[in-house]
Amino acid sequence: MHPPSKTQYNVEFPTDADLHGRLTRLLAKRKVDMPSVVTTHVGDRTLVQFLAPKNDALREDIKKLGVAVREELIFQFEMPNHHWELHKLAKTLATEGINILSLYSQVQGEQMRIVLAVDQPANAMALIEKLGFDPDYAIYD
Amino acid sequence: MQRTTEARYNIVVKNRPGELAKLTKLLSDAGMNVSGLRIANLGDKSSIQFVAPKDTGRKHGLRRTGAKPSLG
Repeated sequence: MHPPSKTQYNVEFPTDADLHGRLTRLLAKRKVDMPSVVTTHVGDRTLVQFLAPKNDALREDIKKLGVAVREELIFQFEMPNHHWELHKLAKTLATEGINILSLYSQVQGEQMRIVLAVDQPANAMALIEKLGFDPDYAIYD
Repeated sequence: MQRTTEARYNIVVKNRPGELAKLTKLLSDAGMNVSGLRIANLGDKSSIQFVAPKDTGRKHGLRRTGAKPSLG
């Protein structure tokens, strides 16, 4: 098991192109190395999520834009890309009352790589290991 | 020109344990693999986006869950 290599920043704000632009410019100016960035709109709210090395100064600069920032501990694992495996994972987490905070997947041939943040990371890691997968806090680009 | 055979579906559900399991059960019962999955939480709501064969929604009752194909 490796120590966490990256943190997931979640930046939430009312949907506003100017605010979104200022956030993007800040990240570019700081030359933040992001292997992944995702934008989601739900109703009138926007959520920008990105993976990056932990940086308290960056977090403070983002807060100064007037947006909400939170960090999540993420881990990744690979599993066969079969619908029953995905359902087994979702059902196991649900049965234990573990809430998924964020998830993304990448299909690589027969395998699906999952990057996951949950409200009970230690419990989830143990359950995922029991399912036969090998979760790790190190996130590979 | 090649026909697009997959669509991206969006669902907004309550942000609580078990909502993804409801969707994966439906997909699993239908024998459907997804080629992409993304979940993001915004307050008390959770956005689930997934990529699946284009006719998944019509054939397998996904629309009853509120899933809509999207270009976004």
